[in-house]
Amino acid sequence: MKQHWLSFELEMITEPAYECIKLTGRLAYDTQLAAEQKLLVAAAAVKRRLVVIDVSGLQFLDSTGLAFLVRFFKQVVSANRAMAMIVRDNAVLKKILLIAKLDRLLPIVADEQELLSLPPLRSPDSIGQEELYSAWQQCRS
Amino acid sequence: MAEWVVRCKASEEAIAFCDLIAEQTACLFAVRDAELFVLAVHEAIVNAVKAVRRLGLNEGTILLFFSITDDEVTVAVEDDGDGIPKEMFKQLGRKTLSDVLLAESGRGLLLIHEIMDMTAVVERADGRRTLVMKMQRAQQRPF
Repeated sequence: MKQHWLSFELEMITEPAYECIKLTGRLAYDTQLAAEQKLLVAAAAVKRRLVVIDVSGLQFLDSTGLAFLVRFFKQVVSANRAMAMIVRDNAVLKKILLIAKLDRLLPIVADEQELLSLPPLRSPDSIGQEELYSAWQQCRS
Repeated sequence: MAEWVVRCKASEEAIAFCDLIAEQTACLFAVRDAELFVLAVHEAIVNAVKAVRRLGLNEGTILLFFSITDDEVTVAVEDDGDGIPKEMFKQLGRKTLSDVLLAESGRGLLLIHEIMDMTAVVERADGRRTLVMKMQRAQQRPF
């Protein structure tokens, strides 16, 4: 987990079935001003029902960053949308998310394929967080 | 055995510098989980910087102490502020990361407690508190 790149970047990509928000750099105490601003703008710009946060490009995530992810999750869910996280091969990031128990809030999957193969996502335009999460839990067990 | 102390002004620069030292220490002395070790030290340093800022000390410093033995790496973090609030540390045994699942703060110390093999707060003579934490070293080492 190289972490000397003291910046945080966010890119939003609209896919047919979901909105993908790619995070790169550091999501941490020392990038909190940039992160807060960019995540606020992203939350307001979301149009799809399903929001996918790709955290695989994050080089460092601390408790401040985790708090931002939770705040973003709450904003998404309160707007009647559903959210999942993609970690790809970033094992360190996955470990931190699991230690913080974020898998008790939302699906944490390897990639888009795994997410879109969940049963309720055959109709992602009407998905809710509870439905998405319970489908993921069933697939996990 | 090796020991060293770093003292620096409580600032963002200090956080980045201490992160770098933690990263090099984790790598050189092969701690059990290098990335998580760096995260735990980072959280402790951020707490220390916040403690100094809470008291409005413009020239306040933080102190980072490392001690390495054959079996483990010990890290201690002190600050010119009020350190970790006693009530917060008292909650450690009772509170877990599940209890702050939807919270937007309060994870730092819980993460440290979860990651490190041992976490303790030592009360100094002046009433301030030092956070002490340990992580075992890995069996496979570069030296």
